[in-house]
Amino acid sequence: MTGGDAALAAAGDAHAFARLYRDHAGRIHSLARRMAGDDEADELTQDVFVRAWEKLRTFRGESAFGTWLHRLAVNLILARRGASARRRSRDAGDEALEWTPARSATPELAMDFEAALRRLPDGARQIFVLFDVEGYRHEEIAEMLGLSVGTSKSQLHRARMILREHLT
Amino acid sequence: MTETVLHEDEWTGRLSEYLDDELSAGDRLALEEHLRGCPGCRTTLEQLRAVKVRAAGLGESLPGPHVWRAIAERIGAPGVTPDDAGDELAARRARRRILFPWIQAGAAAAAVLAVGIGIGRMTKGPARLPTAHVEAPAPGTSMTGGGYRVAVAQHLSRTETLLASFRADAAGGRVDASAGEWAGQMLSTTRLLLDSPAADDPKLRALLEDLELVLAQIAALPRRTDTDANTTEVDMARRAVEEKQLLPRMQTLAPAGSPATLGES
Repeated sequence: MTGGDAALAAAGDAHAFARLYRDHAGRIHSLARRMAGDDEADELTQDVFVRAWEKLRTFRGESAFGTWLHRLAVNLILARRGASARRRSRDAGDEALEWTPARSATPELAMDFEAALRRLPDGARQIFVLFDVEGYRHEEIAEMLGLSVGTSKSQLHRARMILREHLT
Repeated sequence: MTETVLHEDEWTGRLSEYLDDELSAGDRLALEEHLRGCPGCRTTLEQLRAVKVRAAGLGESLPGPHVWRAIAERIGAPGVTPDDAGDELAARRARRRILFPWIQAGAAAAAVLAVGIGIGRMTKGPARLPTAHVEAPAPGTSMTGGGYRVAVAQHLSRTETLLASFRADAAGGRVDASAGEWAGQMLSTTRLLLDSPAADDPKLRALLEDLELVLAQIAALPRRTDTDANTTEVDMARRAVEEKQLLPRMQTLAPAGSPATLGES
């Protein structure tokens, strides 16, 4: 169904593209929200789908449309955040440690997991989302973010160490 | 004393690598030896696993309708909408989102279950979920009687499809990219069904509890963008499907192609 719609959309069928949007918007919006924050998620989702519409003719069907779209989205989100995101990624380690809260004494103090995720430093959050939520490997993340593999691993670990405090 | 603390810190910092199977064989053995004598590191490891499980089960958020309208304008198709099913889909997902915090309350328990049966890993890519899911009841309602049985039948049918596909892919050394995320969805629904007051059939409860274990195991496998599976750990999940005889049990309780059978019984 999606593959057929991708071919139709590549040929200019906006209705087919709307169906692709319907099937994939949730995943892309969630990715944008977790990577860049609530404020930017809507605009990034728009930009991803507009870019997809423009580039659909280059989609050869060698991977699933969802895979192609997802990678396009990650690239666009990271590019949008650009040098700022990379700089924050490098700094995020110390920031994450400083932010790490004491273990919650009562369940009432525990923060919602998604809220805790939003409060992670940019770099640690992006790496956590890319690895644990979206399934990329450290080598891929390191390349995308311009980091070493070791930094990707250490920031992932720090993100998890912070987030474990918010499992209720 | 100081040496002990430093030693624990050193290993604690590598627990994520252990969890992700990123350690060399030698380091892995050394860490496992350390874990046997270090309750603190064992606790931390289980917490980190729980975070992974939670991440695997995170839900999706749909953008508001204004997002598509802006896209449609920008691509020169202002009158086009994501077809009539769009509103229904949004409403269904909205109901799931409302229920999600309640469903998520069991995530830590899922992690413990997953720890118990061992977490493997497989390679996955950005996944496309099946478009049809068992509908969760609206807040304030409960699934009872016929409605519950229909929901169970639909859920078992879809879970059977997932497990059959997973088993076949695992046997072939290539696991479908969407299996982990799909399992996460099925896990949430399984818990919903288990927690319902209508879940009073012992045979069905036993099946759902076994499904919960196996789905937690599959859902906890990290997502990958390639398809080279770690066969040893994927095999663990596949063997769990076999040993618990899940597929024949599901077929007995919900014959393929007749999701209404349970609902009418």
